[in-house]
Amino acid sequence: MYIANCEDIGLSRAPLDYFPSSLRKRLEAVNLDGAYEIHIAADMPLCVYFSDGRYCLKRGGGLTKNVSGTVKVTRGELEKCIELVTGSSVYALKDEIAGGFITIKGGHRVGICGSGVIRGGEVTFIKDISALNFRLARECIGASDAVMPYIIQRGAVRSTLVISPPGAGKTTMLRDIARSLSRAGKRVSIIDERCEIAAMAGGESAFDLGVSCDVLSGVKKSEGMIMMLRSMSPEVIITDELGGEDDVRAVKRLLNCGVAVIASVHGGADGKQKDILSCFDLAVTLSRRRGAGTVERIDSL
Amino acid sequence: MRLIGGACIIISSFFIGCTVSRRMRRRCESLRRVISALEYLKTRICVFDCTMKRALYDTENAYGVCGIFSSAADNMDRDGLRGAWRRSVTESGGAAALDDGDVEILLSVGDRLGSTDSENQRLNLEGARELLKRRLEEAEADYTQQGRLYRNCGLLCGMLTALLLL
Repeated sequence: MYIANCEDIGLSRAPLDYFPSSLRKRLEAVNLDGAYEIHIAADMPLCVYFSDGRYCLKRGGGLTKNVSGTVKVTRGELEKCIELVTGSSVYALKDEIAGGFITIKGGHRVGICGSGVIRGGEVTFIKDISALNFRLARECIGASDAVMPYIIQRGAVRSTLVISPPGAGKTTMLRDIARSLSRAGKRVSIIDERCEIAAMAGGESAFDLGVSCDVLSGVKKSEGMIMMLRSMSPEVIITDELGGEDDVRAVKRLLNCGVAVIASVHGGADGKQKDILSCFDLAVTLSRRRGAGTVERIDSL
Repeated sequence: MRLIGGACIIISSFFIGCTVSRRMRRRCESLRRVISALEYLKTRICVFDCTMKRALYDTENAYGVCGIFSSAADNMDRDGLRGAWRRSVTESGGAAALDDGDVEILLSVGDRLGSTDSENQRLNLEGARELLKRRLEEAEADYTQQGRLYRNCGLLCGMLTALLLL
């Protein structure tokens, strides 16, 4: 078993810029190293989640596991936070809001909870937002060190599936695999449907992805893979959270064209994704047993 | 000395008349720029889906009107968009020679800016443009009728004052 104890670049200050000043000052005064989520809801304590549990902001400063005597988020602070997260550009983020989350600078994902607006049987918007959940992205240089010798063998890249439950570090792992492959001279294309792997903003990534890594953001995976195949001559395509039949079809097409695919899929440590597994040469299973990024197993398929 | 004093009175009075006339002309120019700027802002928002901050900066670069748009973009994170827009329009409206009615229309734009979908953004901005277009027509008519009048009045008043005093 390998635990990804890597060079942790740490939490950028970017997520705190999206909090109103009253909350930002309190958060800046506490140590957020190791935090993976910040949750705010109207009239509820502000909660910060670490690997050892939930902590709340104390009125006098600091963090505590006890909810009494803690700072509660006001409705006005929540609305100000929403305004900052959306950049007062609700019209430009309608699709993201309908999807339930917005990706902000730094690759952090802000989950949105409220009342769904349904049109034609589909969620078109979320109104009356009641809570925001900041899922904090971390760059972990070296997270893929233990798996790279299995992924690159005799100079060739093996198609690899990263199987992981939520919050176990699969996106961080994919990001570092992209960096490692790019540094090894491979032409890498990333299909970043939810703008989490590369977190592109203004044409630049928030993370170190090496020199030969192309990113297509915000496009549906199955379509993006074919687009990149046609346009960017990749040797490896990396994408996150494979799901439906369209994704599997696209992966098979890439493999037929000689392009290696490295992707992730939701699942427990012994999850079975037979249709998807059959496309890959290697399966890497992650867990949170000893912290996010714990590599439980590496299986040749 | 008397002649010099008289000349100063005439020049000052003429200058006041010209200032009023110039302010009317500047108001017309500013209204034209604001109308074009709102059209550009609408395009940035509704066609290009730019974020509000980027759209405001782009609009300032293209059709800057005394920094109304850039000032709002600079301060929106701190004051909220509505507050930043209000402050920006209030502070810069006078410098742009806009009158109270023009400022009120621009302030109303800020009430819905960025908080609704593309279609309502479009309606909001087009509505303001239409109102400002009407005000521009009135302002141009006023300038045509009264601009020269103010200049000439200034000159004549100055001459009359100088004659009376001399």
